[in-house]
Amino acid sequence: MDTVKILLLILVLSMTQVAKAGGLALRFGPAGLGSGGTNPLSLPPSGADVGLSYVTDKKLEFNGSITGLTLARRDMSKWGGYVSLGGGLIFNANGIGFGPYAAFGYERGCLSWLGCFSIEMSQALGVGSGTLVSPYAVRIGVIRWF
Amino acid sequence: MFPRCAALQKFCFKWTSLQYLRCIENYRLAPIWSLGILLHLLFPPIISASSSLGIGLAAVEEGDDRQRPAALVQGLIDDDWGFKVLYYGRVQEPVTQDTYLLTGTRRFELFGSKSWYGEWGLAILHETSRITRPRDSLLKTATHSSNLGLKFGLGWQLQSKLILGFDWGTALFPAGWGGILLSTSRKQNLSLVVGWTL
Repeated sequence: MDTVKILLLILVLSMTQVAKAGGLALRFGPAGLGSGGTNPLSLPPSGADVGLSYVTDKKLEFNGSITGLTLARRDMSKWGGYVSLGGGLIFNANGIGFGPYAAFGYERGCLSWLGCFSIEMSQALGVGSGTLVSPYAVRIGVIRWF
Repeated sequence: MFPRCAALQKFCFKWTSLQYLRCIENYRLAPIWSLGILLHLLFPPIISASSSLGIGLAAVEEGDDRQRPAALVQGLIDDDWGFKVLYYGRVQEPVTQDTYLLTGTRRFELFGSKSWYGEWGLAILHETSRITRPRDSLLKTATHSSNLGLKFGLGWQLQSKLILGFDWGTALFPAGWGGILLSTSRKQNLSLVVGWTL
Protein backbone atom coordinates (compact mmCIF):
# COMPACT_ATOMS: atom_id res chain seq x y z
CA MET A 1 0.00 0.00 0.00
CA ASP A 2 2.86 2.38 0.73
CA THR A 3 4.13 1.81 -2.78
CA VAL A 4 0.71 2.69 -4.15
CA LYS A 5 0.59 5.91 -2.11
CA ILE A 6 4.04 6.92 -3.32
CA LEU A 7 3.09 6.23 -6.93
CA LEU A 8 -0.11 8.24 -6.50
CA LEU A 9 1.90 11.14 -5.07
CA ILE A 10 4.30 11.00 -8.02
CA LEU A 11 1.33 10.99 -10.39
CA VAL A 12 -0.26 14.02 -8.73
CA LEU A 13 3.01 15.93 -8.71
CA SER A 14 3.66 15.11 -12.35
CA MET A 15 0.17 16.26 -13.25
CA THR A 16 0.80 19.69 -11.75
CA GLN A 17 3.76 20.09 -14.10
CA VAL A 18 1.60 19.69 -17.19
CA ALA A 19 -1.61 21.20 -15.82
CA LYS A 20 -2.78 24.48 -17.23
CA ALA A 21 -6.51 23.84 -17.66
CA GLY A 22 -8.51 20.71 -17.17
CA GLY A 23 -10.37 18.74 -14.57
CA LEU A 24 -9.49 16.89 -11.42
CA ALA A 25 -11.70 13.94 -10.48
CA LEU A 26 -11.98 12.18 -7.15
CA ARG A 27 -14.14 9.09 -7.15
CA PHE A 28 -14.95 6.44 -4.57
CA GLY A 29 -15.79 2.81 -5.09
CA PRO A 30 -14.37 -0.65 -4.45
CA ALA A 31 -12.17 -2.30 -7.05
CA GLY A 32 -12.25 -5.90 -8.30
CA LEU A 33 -8.72 -7.09 -7.72
CA GLY A 34 -8.78 -10.61 -9.11
CA SER A 35 -10.05 -12.29 -5.97
CA GLY A 36 -13.74 -12.59 -6.86
CA GLY A 37 -16.12 -9.66 -7.04
CA THR A 38 -15.75 -6.40 -5.24
CA ASN A 39 -16.12 -5.91 -1.52
CA PRO A 40 -18.61 -3.28 -0.40
CA LEU A 41 -17.27 0.27 -0.21
CA SER A 42 -15.55 0.94 3.09
CA LEU A 43 -17.08 3.70 5.22
CA PRO A 44 -15.16 5.92 5.36
CA PRO A 45 -13.52 4.92 2.06
CA SER A 46 -10.09 3.36 2.39
CA GLY A 47 -7.17 4.17 0.10
CA ALA A 48 -8.06 1.11 -2.00
CA ASP A 49 -11.50 2.59 -2.69
CA VAL A 50 -10.24 5.88 -4.14
CA GLY A 51 -9.59 6.75 -7.76
CA LEU A 52 -7.93 9.98 -8.85
CA SER A 53 -7.90 11.38 -12.38
CA TYR A 54 -6.59 14.49 -14.01
CA VAL A 55 -8.03 15.39 -17.42
CA THR A 56 -6.34 18.02 -19.54
CA ASP A 57 -8.17 20.40 -21.85
CA LYS A 58 -6.90 18.18 -24.71
CA LYS A 59 -8.87 15.27 -23.15
CA LEU A 60 -5.76 13.47 -22.04
CA GLU A 61 -6.28 11.54 -18.79
CA PHE A 62 -3.86 10.66 -16.04
CA ASN A 63 -5.36 8.05 -13.74
CA GLY A 64 -4.15 6.61 -10.48
CA SER A 65 -5.72 4.05 -8.18
CA ILE A 66 -5.03 0.69 -6.61
CA THR A 67 -5.70 -0.94 -9.99
CA GLY A 68 -2.97 0.92 -11.83
CA LEU A 69 -1.34 4.06 -13.17
CA THR A 70 -2.60 4.81 -16.65
CA LEU A 71 -2.59 7.38 -19.40
CA ALA A 72 -5.65 7.55 -21.65
CA ARG A 73 -7.37 9.60 -24.33
CA ARG A 74 -10.97 10.58 -23.69
CA ASP A 75 -13.76 10.64 -26.31
CA MET A 76 -16.67 12.69 -24.95
CA SER A 77 -20.25 12.94 -26.13
CA LYS A 78 -22.53 15.96 -25.89
CA TRP A 79 -24.85 14.28 -23.38
CA GLY A 80 -22.13 13.74 -20.79
CA GLY A 81 -21.03 10.20 -21.53
CA TYR A 82 -17.46 9.40 -22.41
CA VAL A 83 -15.10 6.56 -23.22
CA SER A 84 -11.44 6.61 -22.27
CA LEU A 85 -8.90 4.39 -23.93
CA GLY A 86 -5.23 4.09 -23.10
CA GLY A 87 -2.81 1.97 -21.19
CA GLY A 88 -0.26 1.83 -18.44
CA LEU A 89 0.98 -0.11 -15.47
CA ILE A 90 -1.77 -2.39 -14.19
CA PHE A 91 -1.83 -4.28 -10.93
CA ASN A 92 -4.14 -6.37 -8.78
CA ALA A 93 -3.84 -9.03 -6.10
CA ASN A 94 -2.37 -11.56 -8.55
CA GLY A 95 0.39 -9.56 -10.15
CA ILE A 96 1.58 -6.55 -12.13
CA GLY A 97 1.76 -5.99 -15.86
CA PHE A 98 1.55 -3.48 -18.67
CA GLY A 99 -1.54 -3.31 -20.80
CA PRO A 100 -4.62 -1.49 -22.08
CA TYR A 101 -7.00 0.58 -19.98
CA ALA A 102 -10.58 1.58 -20.79
CA ALA A 103 -13.25 3.48 -18.92
CA PHE A 104 -16.91 4.27 -19.52
CA GLY A 105 -18.22 7.26 -17.63
CA TYR A 106 -20.86 9.91 -17.27
CA GLU A 107 -20.54 13.47 -16.00
CA ARG A 108 -23.44 15.78 -15.34
CA GLY A 109 -25.00 18.22 -12.89
CA CYS A 110 -22.16 20.66 -12.45
CA LEU A 111 -22.26 22.90 -9.41
CA SER A 112 -19.99 25.91 -9.45
CA TRP A 113 -18.15 25.24 -6.19
CA LEU A 114 -18.15 21.45 -5.96
CA GLY A 115 -17.80 20.26 -9.55
CA CYS A 116 -19.74 17.80 -11.65
CA PHE A 117 -21.25 14.46 -10.62
CA SER A 118 -19.17 11.68 -12.09
CA ILE A 119 -19.66 7.92 -12.32
CA GLU A 120 -17.20 5.66 -14.08
CA MET A 121 -16.59 1.99 -14.76
CA SER A 122 -12.96 1.29 -15.55
CA GLN A 123 -11.26 -1.90 -16.63
CA ALA A 124 -7.71 -2.84 -17.50
CA LEU A 125 -5.60 -5.74 -18.69
CA GLY A 126 -2.08 -6.19 -17.43
CA VAL A 127 0.24 -8.59 -19.21
CA GLY A 128 3.02 -9.60 -16.84
CA SER A 129 5.40 -12.49 -16.51
CA GLY A 130 3.16 -15.50 -16.93
CA THR A 131 -0.02 -13.77 -15.86
CA LEU A 132 -2.86 -11.68 -17.24
CA VAL A 133 -4.45 -9.50 -14.58
CA SER A 134 -7.89 -7.98 -15.13
CA PRO A 135 -8.83 -5.43 -12.45
CA TYR A 136 -11.94 -3.27 -12.68
CA ALA A 137 -13.73 -0.67 -10.59
CA VAL A 138 -17.03 1.18 -10.43
CA ARG A 139 -16.62 4.56 -8.80
CA ILE A 140 -18.78 7.58 -8.04
CA GLY A 141 -17.51 11.06 -7.21
CA VAL A 142 -16.96 14.54 -8.56
CA ILE A 143 -14.84 16.15 -11.23
CA ARG A 144 -13.87 19.78 -10.81
CA TRP A 145 -13.08 21.58 -14.05
CA PHE A 146 -10.83 24.63 -13.87
CA MET B 1 -37.50 -35.95 -38.41
CA PHE B 2 -35.44 -33.35 -40.20
CA PRO B 3 -38.15 -32.34 -42.73
CA ARG B 4 -40.11 -31.22 -39.70
CA CYS B 5 -37.34 -28.78 -38.89
CA ALA B 6 -37.36 -27.53 -42.48
CA ALA B 7 -41.08 -26.91 -42.16
CA LEU B 8 -40.39 -25.17 -38.92
CA GLN B 9 -37.87 -22.92 -40.64
CA LYS B 10 -40.47 -22.05 -43.29
CA PHE B 11 -43.16 -21.19 -40.78
CA CYS B 12 -40.94 -20.17 -37.92
CA PHE B 13 -42.67 -16.87 -37.34
CA LYS B 14 -45.92 -18.66 -36.54
CA TRP B 15 -44.23 -20.67 -33.81
CA THR B 16 -43.59 -19.44 -30.35
CA SER B 17 -40.00 -19.36 -29.12
CA LEU B 18 -40.85 -22.02 -26.55
CA GLN B 19 -42.11 -24.42 -29.20
CA TYR B 20 -39.00 -23.86 -31.23
CA LEU B 21 -36.72 -24.37 -28.24
CA ARG B 22 -38.53 -27.65 -27.50
CA CYS B 23 -37.91 -28.74 -31.08
CA ILE B 24 -34.19 -28.10 -31.01
CA GLU B 25 -33.98 -29.69 -27.58
CA ASN B 26 -35.43 -32.85 -29.08
CA TYR B 27 -32.65 -32.90 -31.64
CA ARG B 28 -30.07 -32.41 -28.86
CA LEU B 29 -28.13 -29.80 -30.78
CA ALA B 30 -25.31 -28.05 -28.99
CA PRO B 31 -26.91 -25.17 -27.06
CA ILE B 32 -24.96 -22.32 -28.61
CA TRP B 33 -25.60 -23.44 -32.18
CA SER B 34 -29.25 -23.92 -31.35
CA LEU B 35 -29.39 -20.34 -30.21
CA GLY B 36 -27.56 -19.30 -33.35
CA ILE B 37 -30.14 -21.03 -35.53
CA LEU B 38 -32.96 -19.46 -33.54
CA LEU B 39 -31.48 -15.99 -33.88
CA HIS B 40 -30.89 -16.55 -37.58
CA LEU B 41 -34.54 -17.50 -38.06
CA LEU B 42 -35.74 -14.48 -36.14
CA PHE B 43 -33.38 -12.15 -37.97
CA PRO B 44 -34.89 -11.65 -41.46
CA PRO B 45 -37.69 -9.23 -40.49
CA ILE B 46 -35.27 -6.72 -39.02
CA ILE B 47 -32.17 -6.92 -41.19
CA SER B 48 -30.83 -3.89 -43.00
CA ALA B 49 -28.00 -3.30 -45.46
CA SER B 50 -25.50 -3.26 -42.60
CA SER B 51 -26.84 -6.25 -40.69
CA SER B 52 -24.41 -9.04 -40.00
CA LEU B 53 -24.16 -12.33 -38.22
CA GLY B 54 -21.02 -13.90 -36.82
CA ILE B 55 -19.65 -16.65 -34.67
CA GLY B 56 -16.54 -16.67 -32.57
CA LEU B 57 -14.51 -17.64 -29.60
CA ALA B 58 -14.01 -15.79 -26.37
CA ALA B 59 -12.08 -15.88 -23.14
CA VAL B 60 -14.34 -15.11 -20.19
CA GLU B 61 -13.01 -13.92 -16.86
CA GLU B 62 -15.23 -13.91 -13.75
CA GLY B 63 -13.23 -11.82 -11.31
CA ASP B 64 -10.49 -14.32 -10.52
CA ASP B 65 -8.07 -13.72 -13.44
CA ARG B 66 -8.83 -17.17 -14.88
CA GLN B 67 -9.77 -17.22 -18.56
CA ARG B 68 -12.55 -19.65 -19.52
CA PRO B 69 -13.05 -20.67 -23.17
CA ALA B 70 -16.44 -19.71 -24.58
CA ALA B 71 -18.37 -19.88 -27.85
CA LEU B 72 -20.40 -16.95 -29.10
CA VAL B 73 -22.93 -15.81 -31.67
CA GLN B 74 -23.03 -12.14 -32.56
CA GLY B 75 -25.56 -10.21 -34.62
CA LEU B 76 -25.74 -6.62 -35.74
CA ILE B 77 -29.19 -5.39 -36.65
CA ASP B 78 -27.81 -2.20 -38.16
CA ASP B 79 -24.85 0.11 -37.55
CA ASP B 80 -26.09 0.96 -34.07
CA TRP B 81 -27.74 -2.05 -32.47
CA GLY B 82 -26.38 -5.50 -31.83
CA PHE B 83 -26.62 -8.56 -29.62
CA LYS B 84 -24.28 -11.27 -28.48
CA VAL B 85 -24.83 -14.66 -26.90
CA LEU B 86 -21.92 -16.22 -25.04
CA TYR B 87 -21.94 -19.80 -23.83
CA TYR B 88 -19.42 -21.54 -21.66
CA GLY B 89 -19.45 -24.31 -19.13
CA ARG B 90 -17.61 -27.27 -17.76
CA VAL B 91 -18.16 -30.88 -16.82
CA GLN B 92 -16.47 -32.10 -13.70
CA GLU B 93 -18.28 -35.28 -12.72
CA PRO B 94 -20.71 -35.39 -11.11
CA VAL B 95 -21.25 -31.64 -11.65
CA THR B 96 -22.10 -29.96 -14.96
CA GLN B 97 -22.19 -26.17 -15.22
CA ASP B 98 -23.62 -24.11 -18.09
CA THR B 99 -23.52 -20.33 -18.36
CA TYR B 100 -25.32 -18.19 -20.94
CA LEU B 101 -24.67 -14.49 -21.24
CA LEU B 102 -27.00 -12.53 -23.53
CA THR B 103 -26.23 -8.88 -24.22
CA GLY B 104 -28.05 -6.27 -26.27
CA THR B 105 -26.06 -3.15 -26.96
CA ARG B 106 -26.03 0.14 -28.78
CA ARG B 107 -22.82 0.84 -30.67
CA PHE B 108 -21.16 4.16 -31.34
CA GLU B 109 -18.01 5.28 -33.12
CA LEU B 110 -14.88 5.91 -31.10
CA PHE B 111 -12.45 8.74 -31.83
CA GLY B 112 -14.09 9.38 -35.19
CA SER B 113 -13.12 5.96 -36.54
CA LYS B 114 -15.47 3.76 -38.53
CA SER B 115 -13.66 0.63 -37.37
CA TRP B 116 -13.29 1.32 -33.66
CA TYR B 117 -16.48 1.29 -31.66
CA GLY B 118 -17.77 1.49 -28.12
CA GLU B 119 -20.97 -0.14 -26.92
CA TRP B 120 -23.23 -0.16 -23.93
CA GLY B 121 -26.48 -1.89 -23.07
CA LEU B 122 -28.11 -4.60 -21.01
CA ALA B 123 -26.84 -8.03 -20.04
CA ILE B 124 -28.77 -11.10 -18.94
CA LEU B 125 -26.92 -13.93 -17.26
CA HIS B 126 -28.25 -17.44 -16.69
CA GLU B 127 -26.24 -20.11 -14.93
CA THR B 128 -27.21 -23.74 -14.37
CA SER B 129 -25.44 -26.30 -12.20
CA ARG B 130 -26.50 -29.94 -12.39
CA ILE B 131 -25.34 -32.77 -10.22
CA THR B 132 -25.79 -36.43 -11.07
CA ARG B 133 -27.23 -38.38 -8.13
CA PRO B 134 -28.01 -41.92 -9.25
CA ARG B 135 -29.00 -43.12 -5.79
CA ASP B 136 -30.46 -40.06 -4.08
CA SER B 137 -32.91 -39.08 -6.75
CA LEU B 138 -35.12 -37.22 -4.27
CA LEU B 139 -32.46 -34.61 -3.63
CA LYS B 140 -32.32 -31.49 -5.75
CA THR B 141 -30.29 -32.14 -8.91
CA ALA B 142 -30.14 -28.70 -10.55
CA THR B 143 -29.91 -25.06 -9.53
CA HIS B 144 -30.63 -22.08 -11.76
CA SER B 145 -29.62 -18.49 -11.18
CA SER B 146 -30.16 -15.40 -13.30
CA ASN B 147 -29.08 -11.80 -13.07
CA LEU B 148 -29.66 -8.57 -14.96
CA GLY B 149 -26.84 -6.12 -15.46
CA LEU B 150 -25.15 -3.59 -17.72
CA LYS B 151 -22.80 -4.23 -20.59
CA PHE B 152 -19.89 -2.00 -21.59
CA GLY B 153 -17.40 -2.76 -24.29
CA LEU B 154 -15.18 -1.57 -27.06
CA GLY B 155 -13.73 -3.22 -30.09
CA TRP B 156 -12.53 -3.13 -33.64
CA GLN B 157 -14.26 -4.53 -36.70
CA LEU B 158 -13.16 -4.89 -40.33
CA GLN B 159 -15.52 -2.92 -42.58
CA SER B 160 -16.28 -5.24 -45.48
CA LYS B 161 -18.60 -8.04 -46.58
CA LEU B 162 -16.55 -10.32 -44.35
CA ILE B 163 -16.86 -9.44 -40.69
CA LEU B 164 -13.68 -9.85 -38.70
CA GLY B 165 -13.40 -8.25 -35.31
CA PHE B 166 -12.36 -8.40 -31.73
CA ASP B 167 -13.81 -6.81 -28.65
CA TRP B 168 -13.16 -6.33 -24.98
CA GLY B 169 -16.33 -6.17 -22.94
CA THR B 170 -17.57 -6.20 -19.40
CA ALA B 171 -20.97 -7.33 -18.15
CA LEU B 172 -21.50 -5.79 -14.74
CA PHE B 173 -24.00 -7.22 -12.28
CA PRO B 174 -25.17 -6.09 -8.85
CA ALA B 175 -23.88 -8.45 -6.18
CA GLY B 176 -26.58 -8.39 -3.57
CA TRP B 177 -28.39 -5.12 -3.15
CA GLY B 178 -25.73 -2.99 -1.53
CA GLY B 179 -26.89 0.19 -3.28
CA ILE B 180 -24.35 2.87 -2.62
CA LEU B 181 -21.88 0.30 -1.35
CA LEU B 182 -21.25 -0.50 -5.04
CA SER B 183 -20.68 -4.20 -4.58
CA THR B 184 -20.60 -5.78 -8.06
CA SER B 185 -19.61 -8.88 -9.95
CA ARG B 186 -18.28 -8.93 -13.45
CA LYS B 187 -17.96 -11.16 -16.51
CA GLN B 188 -15.22 -9.92 -18.81
CA ASN B 189 -14.95 -11.21 -22.34
CA LEU B 190 -12.15 -10.98 -24.89
CA SER B 191 -13.74 -12.08 -28.15
CA LEU B 192 -12.73 -12.89 -31.69
CA VAL B 193 -15.57 -12.88 -34.23
CA VAL B 194 -15.86 -13.98 -37.86
CA GLY B 195 -19.06 -13.39 -39.80
CA TRP B 196 -20.79 -12.11 -42.86
CA THR B 197 -22.80 -9.07 -43.82
CA LEU B 198 -26.30 -10.23 -44.68
